[in-house]
Amino acid sequence: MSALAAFLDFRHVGLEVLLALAPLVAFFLFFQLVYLRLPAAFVANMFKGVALCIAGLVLFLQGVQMG
Amino acid sequence: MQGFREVFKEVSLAILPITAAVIALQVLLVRLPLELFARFLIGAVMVFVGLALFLQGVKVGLLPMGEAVGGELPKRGSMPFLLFFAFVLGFAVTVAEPDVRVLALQVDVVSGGLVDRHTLIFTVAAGVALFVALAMLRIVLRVPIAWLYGVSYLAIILLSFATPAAFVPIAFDSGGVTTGPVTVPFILALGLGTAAVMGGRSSFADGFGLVGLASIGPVLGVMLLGMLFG
Repeated sequence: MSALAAFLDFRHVGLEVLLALAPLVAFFLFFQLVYLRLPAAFVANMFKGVALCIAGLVLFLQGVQMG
Repeated sequence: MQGFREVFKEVSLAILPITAAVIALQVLLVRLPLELFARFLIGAVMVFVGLALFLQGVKVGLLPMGEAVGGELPKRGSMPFLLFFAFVLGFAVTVAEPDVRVLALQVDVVSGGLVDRHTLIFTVAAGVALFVALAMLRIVLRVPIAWLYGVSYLAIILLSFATPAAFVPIAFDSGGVTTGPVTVPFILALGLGTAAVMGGRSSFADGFGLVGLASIGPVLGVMLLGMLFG
């Protein structure tokens, strides 16, 4: 049972994914605020995509490490 | 969520064959312990769902982000600015690249922790960053691309004799994994954007080539890392 419980422990991988995407998102935000100034709706949609990426990456990496 | 069906189909094509192969092996030949097999199946489902979500996210989020930043960067004046941010962008996208993480994890496990995965990711990212910046410099200074490739590959061949043999295959794999679903849209957009903004260059002839150049950096980087470790 403990092996299966390890599947559901997403903390480690979750942190790793957040750290992995942070520089890219920070880079984009810097550009958005200083130069790009894209419409808010466009950016909001983009961040939905980023959220999907984060969720997907967490599942993917967890699956790779465990399975 | 338009286009999700397409992504789903893509991911099925990528994952079902290997899963089917393992199941066939399990049934016909090896008979792994049931717990291990269950782990594999659950892992495969997670990879499947994860990859589908991720690819959809790339399409909705990272692709337009790459186009926006890649197109904007070259419009903002000076050379040092362009080179510096090309370097930072190259680094940031590589750190976010899932392929790189999978390779680094495997190397970490197989080498028994000798090559720590953070060290490898950092080396690969630095290599990509350097070569993206070099590739931008090439577009601006109009250095023929064949020349840049020639020198870089010569360096790779020479270094591959000097590096401990164990690191040479990892180095070449590192070059392959950098060009994944996060890196490619950003770097392509950067190259095309730069060629479009600079006067007198055609996007077609000068805008491409960055992805190929970007994958040279990690090969050189990991070989140097190998010499450091060996």
